[in-house]
Amino acid sequence: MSARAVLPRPPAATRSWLSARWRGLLIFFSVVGPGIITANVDNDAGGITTYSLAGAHYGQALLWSLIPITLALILIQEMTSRLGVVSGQGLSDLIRERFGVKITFYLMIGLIITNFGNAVAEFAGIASAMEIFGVSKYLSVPVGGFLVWWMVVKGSYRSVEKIFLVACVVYISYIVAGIKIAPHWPSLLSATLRPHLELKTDFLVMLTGVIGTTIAPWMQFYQQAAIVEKGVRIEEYRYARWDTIIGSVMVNVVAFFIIVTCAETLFKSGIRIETAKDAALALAPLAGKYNAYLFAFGLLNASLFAASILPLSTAYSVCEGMGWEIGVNKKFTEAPQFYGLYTLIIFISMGIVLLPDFPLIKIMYLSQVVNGLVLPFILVFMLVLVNDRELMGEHANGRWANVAGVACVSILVLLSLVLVASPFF
Amino acid sequence: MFVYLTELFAKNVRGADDRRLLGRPVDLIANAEELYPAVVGFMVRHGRRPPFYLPWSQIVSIENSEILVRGRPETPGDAAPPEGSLHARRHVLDRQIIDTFGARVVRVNDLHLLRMEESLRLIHVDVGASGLFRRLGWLPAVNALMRGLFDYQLREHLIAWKFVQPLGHFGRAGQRQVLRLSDSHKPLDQLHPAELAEVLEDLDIHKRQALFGSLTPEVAADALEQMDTEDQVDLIEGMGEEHATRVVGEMATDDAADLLSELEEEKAENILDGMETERSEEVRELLTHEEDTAGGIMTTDFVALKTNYTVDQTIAVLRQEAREAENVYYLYVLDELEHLVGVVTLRSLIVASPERRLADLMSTRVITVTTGEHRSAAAELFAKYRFRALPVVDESGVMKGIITIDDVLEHVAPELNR
Repeated sequence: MSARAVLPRPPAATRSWLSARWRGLLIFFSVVGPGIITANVDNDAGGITTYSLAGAHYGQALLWSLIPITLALILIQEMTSRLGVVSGQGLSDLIRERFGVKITFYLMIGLIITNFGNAVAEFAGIASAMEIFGVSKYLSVPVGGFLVWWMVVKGSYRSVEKIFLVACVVYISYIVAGIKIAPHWPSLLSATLRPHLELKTDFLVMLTGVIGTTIAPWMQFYQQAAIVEKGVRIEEYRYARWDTIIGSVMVNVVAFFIIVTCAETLFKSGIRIETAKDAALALAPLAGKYNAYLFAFGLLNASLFAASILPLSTAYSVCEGMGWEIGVNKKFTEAPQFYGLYTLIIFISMGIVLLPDFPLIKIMYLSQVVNGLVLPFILVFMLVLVNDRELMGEHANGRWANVAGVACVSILVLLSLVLVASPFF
Repeated sequence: MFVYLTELFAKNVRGADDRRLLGRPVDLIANAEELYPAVVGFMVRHGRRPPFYLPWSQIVSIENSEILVRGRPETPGDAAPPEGSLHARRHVLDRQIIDTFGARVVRVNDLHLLRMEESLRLIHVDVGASGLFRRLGWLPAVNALMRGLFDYQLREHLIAWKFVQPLGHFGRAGQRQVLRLSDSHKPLDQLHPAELAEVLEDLDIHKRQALFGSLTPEVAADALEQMDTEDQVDLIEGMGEEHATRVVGEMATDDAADLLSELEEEKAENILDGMETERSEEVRELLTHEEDTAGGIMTTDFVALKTNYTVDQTIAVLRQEAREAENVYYLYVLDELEHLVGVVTLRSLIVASPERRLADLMSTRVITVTTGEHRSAAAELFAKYRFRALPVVDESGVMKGIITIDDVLEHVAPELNR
């Protein structure tokens, strides 16, 4: 900390335009974090797998979907962070106070299941990424799990946030891998700008999968909690909005390059894959060993990153909704449910991944289905809350924000139902 | 006879004479200004129709599965809950409250009411697992399961209303209203300032601000002294300047200086201008020292005496100043130019005969630090001599302030492993 200011100081008489800009930038850096981190955690093991599959099986056909997805993501995450800034409360707190204990309880059970499925996928991601580097999962998973647990229990939110922000930079490895492939840019551009829809079940399921993995229920809870924890004020909110926008664009740029990499190599050679590990391994002969390593490194980072946030976010949201003590700065006996839930999710997911023949694909699919069931409720609750003038005052949704919000939520709800119902067709 | 709110909400409201169905209670209204709030009515809703107010006076009886009423409360009229009433749903149920008995923030699962002949009163709030399962409708099943499997009975976790501080509800965005309670209902008074600080830190920013703003300046200052600088700044910046000035004016000078140095210049300047001249000069003086020096952590709230005082006179002075001073165990003796010439302990003062002069009593070999020395030098002296307070002088030996053990602890504690 700097030397203490000596009062009285000469008054800063006129602030120039430039220094106003500087102040803006400073405020931006003080509120940056929640949006970018949430969006990047979104590119987790499940996300990378889905994007790899989309690229490998459908080539560039799904690239266009990233543009509407980005817009929808911005729209939804903006609403949730506005809720957080104005109310000062987390999302499950607001849902409990507004919709009562019953709905909250069952919603939280859904959230635990879907986040748990995601956590399993993250540890599986750690295992497969390290296997590409030749490390056994019986070593990498316990070490990764301990690292995650230790970082959160022993660190403070601020220091953890800094680690996470640095981790976001590692996603560049996917962009590097994509550029090294040297794709044909003009055709990419036209594929991105021209929507392409096939009315076939597996195409629609893939499309829904890409959307579902990018817009997931935990994200609203996490970003709102992070923004509340950061204590962002309403005067600073317009800077926090940029945090959300930058994050949402970043996540989709990374997704774009993952799809491109797989489309240019695996799709063109007609290789079918099932997991992100398959993708990385199949890349080696086609795009060179280093590209495969870049891919694997990105997967490792993404999995570790998401594995540290998902269990924490789950414990946080559930305890907040149920009114149990929360906080990484409390002792275990003071917040038993919080630590219990957090530790349990980490250890059970690790345990499942370490089983010799664990059904990763099935678990991930199940968690996607629960995802699809939980998301509509959360989005609808969010829309109701953000329109509550008693709660939001002048910051409630305007008419156009509502039109866009309702349209976006309706499409997402529809697609979620498609995904849930798809096995019956 | 005790009854839970969940049980009341499950009853049908019917006309006493024609037994027509009027709906179900959706909210309970009680008189917040009583120590154990008496129920004054219910909000009742039938299907999708807007809820109507059912005053207590129109209730004939509360039966096992129904509430019988007279008259026609459902007809649209002027009947509305009295202003300032406690609304169970809006203020308490599913909301966070402060349990001042356990000194923590909890969420309310159910309310526990006592039915006496003519009245129904709110006695406890239920914050436990059994309340949660009762709300979910699983309590009998869970109880049977627990008894059958583990021979364990879920315990009730009830908190008496006198230990409950509700946190109000949101009015317009951010303007949380704190519910006006009975004058003898002051649960927060039971909290130690350190507990109050912890509870405040557990609340979200709006609740924290609202509750903090409702405290008296003395209580607020005590709590504020126990908080992190960052939270202090948030709270002070979030409140009106006048109130902020009063709160900072009640803080110990060293804590006030620490806080003001973190505030925006203009705000800090305004607060200083609003304070009593003598205090604000002391604080300004403290602000000139570097943060990591002895001068930066000292306080000016010490008891200063003159060599020619008698023991009697000294005790009279002490009676006046003890309230403000950080430490009354060591009394510092200064000459006309405010040089520190000796120190008298409270013990030696009490055992001495009343007419003796301080010059004879005081010990003249005083261990001091100078304002410019690093604060770790002070910490070392504390470790070596086991003092409770240490005088701080400037280069010429003029007494400037004292450092108490907690000032040192505050700066050393973050380095301890948590």
